Amino acid sequence: MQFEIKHIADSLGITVVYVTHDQTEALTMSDRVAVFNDGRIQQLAPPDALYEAPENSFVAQFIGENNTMAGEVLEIAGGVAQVRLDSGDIIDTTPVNVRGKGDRTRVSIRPERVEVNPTTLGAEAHTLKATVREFIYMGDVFRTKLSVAGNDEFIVKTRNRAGQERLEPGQTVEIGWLPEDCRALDA
Amino acid sequence: MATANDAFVAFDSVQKSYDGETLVVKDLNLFIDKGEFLTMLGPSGSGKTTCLMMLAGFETATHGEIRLDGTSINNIPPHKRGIGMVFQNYALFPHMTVAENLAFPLDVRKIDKAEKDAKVARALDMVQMGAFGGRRPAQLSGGQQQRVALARALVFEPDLVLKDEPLGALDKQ
Repeated sequence: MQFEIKHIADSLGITVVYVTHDQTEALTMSDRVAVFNDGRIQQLAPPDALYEAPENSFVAQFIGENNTMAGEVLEIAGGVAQVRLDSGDIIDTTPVNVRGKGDRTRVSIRPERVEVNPTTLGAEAHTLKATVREFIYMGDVFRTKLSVAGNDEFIVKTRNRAGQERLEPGQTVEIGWLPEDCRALDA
Repeated sequence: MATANDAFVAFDSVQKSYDGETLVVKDLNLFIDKGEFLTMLGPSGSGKTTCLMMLAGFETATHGEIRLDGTSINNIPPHKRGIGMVFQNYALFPHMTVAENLAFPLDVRKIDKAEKDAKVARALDMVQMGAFGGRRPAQLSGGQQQRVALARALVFEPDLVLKDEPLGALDKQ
């Protein structure tokens, strides 16, 4: 029934202002979504921009699932922020709302943008060692919980494609992602 | 994309305070295009419902201006704003049939019977409830009641429809 409002509004050319706290509804129906917190719009954007390019930590956390790792900016140059994670690992990220060297940051990456077999990503991919904590079979996808750079709740979602490896708890793996999918947000 | 000057719905520097001290809406600037489907998303207490209520006319802005199609609506009461509302606390009248529930907002607008019947039938067909005009709300499922509530909001052919979230909806976050 919710989606019917969308279809009817489209066919009649009606403007709709819809209030919800259901992010799936918001992402699937809207031309644009205004994310509110603390009396302010935190971000106003079409669903794909909101999901793929959150502008601050609140939006990244509120919309969808996200892995975060805390760290400090070492350098911002050429559109890349180098971040030293609190675990000591140094990674390349996309600077979003960090200003420069010394800024604390929360680095954010979506579970489906992490590859367990990073060789598929190419040379620019960043890789880190990870330990498998839990493997959850969900039918269409696998949800694997890992310990990565001090984050024990790091989630990777993998499509259940033909031949996809099913990881075992305790196993050590190399995971990777592209720097553009890894966003340096406010701490 | 809409700007302050050509927006169909404009919140222009809108603030809202209930107690004169705390702002529950802080300097809202939001410009919505005609035909746009805009969702206000946020946790409880984030100010989203207050914004919807100000647009509907059930709350007044403490500061700033809300415009609809270029005209300030700050001082226009809800029923004169011409906005369709699908609000959870707008229950269907239990003693009226579905068709009578839909005809009610048209009666208030003094529309003649033949035209009224045609509008009611059209609105019910839009939500695939054309066969249920003679039922009372208690004879409908929850989902069917929601469809009727939507039809009731559409029956006077508004350019703008507002929908709030179901009461008791659990926060998934």
